[in-house]
Amino acid sequence: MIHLLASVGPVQELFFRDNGQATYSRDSDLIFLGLFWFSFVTFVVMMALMIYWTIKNRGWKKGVRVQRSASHNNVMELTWTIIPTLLVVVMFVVGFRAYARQVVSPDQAINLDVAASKWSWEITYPNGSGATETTAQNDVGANAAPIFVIPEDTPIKLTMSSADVIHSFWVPDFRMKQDVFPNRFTTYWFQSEKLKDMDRDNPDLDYPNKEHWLFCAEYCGDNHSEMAGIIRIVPREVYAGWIREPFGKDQTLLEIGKTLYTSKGCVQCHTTDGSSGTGPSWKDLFGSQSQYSNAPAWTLDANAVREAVYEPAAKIRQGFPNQMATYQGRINDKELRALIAYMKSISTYTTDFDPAQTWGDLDPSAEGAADGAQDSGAEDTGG
Amino acid sequence: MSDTSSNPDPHEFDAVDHSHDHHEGSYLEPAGGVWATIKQWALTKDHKKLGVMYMFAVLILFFLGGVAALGVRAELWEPVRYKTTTTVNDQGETVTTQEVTGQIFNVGRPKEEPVTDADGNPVLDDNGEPLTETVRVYNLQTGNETYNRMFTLHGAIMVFMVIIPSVPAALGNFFLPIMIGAKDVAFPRLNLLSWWIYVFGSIFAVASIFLGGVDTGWTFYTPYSTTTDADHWRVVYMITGAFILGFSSILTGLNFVVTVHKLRAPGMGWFDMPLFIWARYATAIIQVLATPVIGVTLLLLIMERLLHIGIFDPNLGGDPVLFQHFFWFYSHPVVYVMILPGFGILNELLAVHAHKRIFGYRAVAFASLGIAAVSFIVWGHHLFTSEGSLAATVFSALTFLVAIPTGVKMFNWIATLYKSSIVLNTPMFYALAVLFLFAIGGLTGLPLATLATDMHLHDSYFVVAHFHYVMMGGTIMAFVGGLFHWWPKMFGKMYNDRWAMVGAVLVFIGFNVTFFTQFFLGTRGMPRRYASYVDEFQIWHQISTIGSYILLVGFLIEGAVLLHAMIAGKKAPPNPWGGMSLEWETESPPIEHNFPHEPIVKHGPYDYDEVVPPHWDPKDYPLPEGAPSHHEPGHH
Ligand code: HEM
Ligand SMILES: [Cu+2]
Ligand SMILES: [Cu+2]
Repeated sequence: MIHLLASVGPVQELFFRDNGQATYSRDSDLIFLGLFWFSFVTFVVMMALMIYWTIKNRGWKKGVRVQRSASHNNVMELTWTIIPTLLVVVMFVVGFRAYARQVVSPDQAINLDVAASKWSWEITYPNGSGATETTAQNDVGANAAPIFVIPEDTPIKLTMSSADVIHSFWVPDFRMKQDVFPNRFTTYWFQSEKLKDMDRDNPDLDYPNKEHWLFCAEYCGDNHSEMAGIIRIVPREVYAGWIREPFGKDQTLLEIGKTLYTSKGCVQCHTTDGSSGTGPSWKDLFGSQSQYSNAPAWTLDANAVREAVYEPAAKIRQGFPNQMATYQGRINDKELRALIAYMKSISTYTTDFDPAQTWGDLDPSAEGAADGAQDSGAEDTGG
Repeated sequence: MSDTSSNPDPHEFDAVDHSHDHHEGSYLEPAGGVWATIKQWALTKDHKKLGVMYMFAVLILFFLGGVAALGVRAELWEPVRYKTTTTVNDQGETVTTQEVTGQIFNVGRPKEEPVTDADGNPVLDDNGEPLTETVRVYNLQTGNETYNRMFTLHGAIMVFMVIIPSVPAALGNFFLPIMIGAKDVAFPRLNLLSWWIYVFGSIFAVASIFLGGVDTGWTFYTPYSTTTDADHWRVVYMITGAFILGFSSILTGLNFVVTVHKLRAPGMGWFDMPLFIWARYATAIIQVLATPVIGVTLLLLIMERLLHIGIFDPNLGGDPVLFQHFFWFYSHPVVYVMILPGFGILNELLAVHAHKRIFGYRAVAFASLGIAAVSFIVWGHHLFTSEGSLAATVFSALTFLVAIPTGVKMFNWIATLYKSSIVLNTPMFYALAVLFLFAIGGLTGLPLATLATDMHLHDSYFVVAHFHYVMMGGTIMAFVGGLFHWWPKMFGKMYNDRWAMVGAVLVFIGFNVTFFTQFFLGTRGMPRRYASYVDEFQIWHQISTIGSYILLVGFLIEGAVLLHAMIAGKKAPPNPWGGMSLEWETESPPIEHNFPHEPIVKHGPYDYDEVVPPHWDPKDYPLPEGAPSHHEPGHH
């Protein structure tokens, strides 16, 4: 009965865009609606009395002694102290029990790593890869945001940490958030509802799917409002296929590089149209001569890019702050090659670039990017 | 002394016996020349002059903070978007350009760029170093940064420089001594010092704006606040300003605690004090006990920034959550520094304009103390999503404790209206508005105290709406109501009640349109402190923005009404509303030493059904038959 009230009522639709989308979020919606109706009734009764007595008792004759009335009433006052006390005990207990379900994750869960940094989210999957697709520009922020693929109806446990300041992982559709810190790990778990055949948040996909906004809820600086993502719930078999082969063998490096540029968060600081950002623009960057504030000038070749990505503090570009965090362990070798392909494609300082090169060309024997996060050896990465 | 004061019924009152009056002038009487007057005010030890100066400072800063808020609301009219245009240039190449739309304010950011010659080669200076020049860049990020500076400015001004001193320092200074029948506060010199500390602290904080602004948020969370704008002093200035303001708060609190203990007029027991005094007393205790904690915390923050001592910044081995604990250990009790005095005013407004004793006086007085006590142990409810789950559970339970005395007060106020005799003028309208708005603010605190729902609502617009209902709907509305209630007393002039009412209704409507929408934004997933948002939220944001401009119009009208009264208002009688607390027994405006003689209290502040208030001009208020007779008119 109560469940029905919570899942379809117009009040639910007014406050929430949809029903809670994680297994535990029905509870918090129910509690919210319970509190709403309690508050609504309390409020209406109080205001009705206030307005009624105000109208009824209008008028006061100057200099006339007013009517006598009780200064207090112990029974009444005790009643309206004790009843609210009991009610808040109930609220606390109910809230606590639902909270326990939100924070205690089941033993068997898929473990994923979440790395937060100004101003992007990254999820690293067991195979070492990250998001392989991004939203169009202006979908959940002005910048494109990464899309994270998550299997339906499966417990997922995120182990989260931040590379810089505090962030907070909030998926409003799950009704749950958790702060992410630079000095310790925090966890966030959820299990989505089972997909129904008609769930087609993204109609371009040929399988049922639901897409949920992911926001950063703890203020973290300039582009806090750009720190968004999409959690895409997909059928289990789709997830299994994707995890085996995150990028298609015949996807071009250029195309993949463009995706990684957004999904790995490069976009937050580097533009590709030559305009200025926190870091230098990638337009006409590759192959150019760069000035450093703490090192001699150097031509930006593939090795220079590698160093800039894995050891950003080693050489600081003239006129830019030392603000980039290292991508050691977060971008693997093949991904770096894809990024370089993208940089080359928008630079007039190099001609050595084959737009047709594909992911599969990089390492015909490897299965996708399953080699995981590699150590950056000194070997030449091409270019 | 004017004709407007007739004498009290000798059997009920002998608070002020004017017959031996040595014709002391009003506290507003200028000291002679302009310079003498300025000196008189700047060095005054008179609590009334200090109160008036605080009041104008608070109103000016309220305007400044309000302008920042209107900027924030204007910026949120449209989400920030990229507009991509593709054109074909002379050479036949397609060129795509990206333009940022939906950004109104963008002050840009200075940046060192290498100077290049016509061929694009770096130009070297005399020492062979590449030459650089400073240019201002404007892009999506610098626009967002401008937004962040605006809301930080708004929050910091409103909290540290407006709400905290509004009722406590401005109206508290003016009325606390008068309402207990004292000549002044216990330590008038200290009071003067507190005022100048407040001015000094505000200058520091406001200076940081002119140095480029601060983007930490008023909460200064680490490690963001210890690392942002690392090459600038302005963040340090802002924090120093807040640190200095703390001292003003501590000294004022101390002063008031002693004043209430020591300087009550003969005959005034603890339970004969007006409830405003109870509320202000509870507040003073919080100020004295909690403010030192924020002082130390802000000092540590400054040291962290300047000396890198490694207490909050994890890169140096510190713990950022420690800062949050320190911060809220102060800032939660301070939420009650903000709201309790508002409650205090509400008591006076209701009692005086409904001519009725506050129902359950003692319960209301003890609820103030109870709230003050509990407020010290609930700070962790600001950290539900950052602390461990055990701590969260304990703090959730404790937080619900605050709800109880608060609810009790609500019920008592509403019960006060029963069998009352109401004059629905502007102050009374504000009192009813506070009951309405605070009820919403308080009830929406319940899902925030409940763990399961707070996980969703924390740091969303729901919280923004909640604390505006409490702080602005509760405290600021009570403060403005208090201004209308006491303006005739403070300046001896009546205002135009009709226009004041028009303004009040606009404020009430504007407030609800602005902030009620934000509850829905919050539950639907809009995070707080966002310069932009998903398209779906735009309609809600636009309604909210329209509301904020209605609010502006309302406040402008109220300001005009009050200023007009000061300049051209009709002379106010000593007791225009028929109040019973002591401030109504002295002149309007009060004389230099408040009362010609120490008043002796023979009745409670709310004994409306026992006695008929004195001090009406018999011409204005002819006594109906059966009322106790006045004794013969004074000595005039
Ligand atoms: C009158 C007393 C007011 C007080 C004490 C007050 C206080 C605050 C505080 C403490 C914040 C949080 C700032 C932060 O997140 O850093 C805030 C945010 C905000 N205030 Fe106010 N405010 C007041 C009036 C107003 C008015 C009149 C408006 C609109 C016209 C307004 C609009 C906003 C908005 C839009 C935010 C959200 C900023 C954000 O989190 O993105 N406030 N206010
Ligand atoms: Cu953020
Ligand atoms: Cu709090």
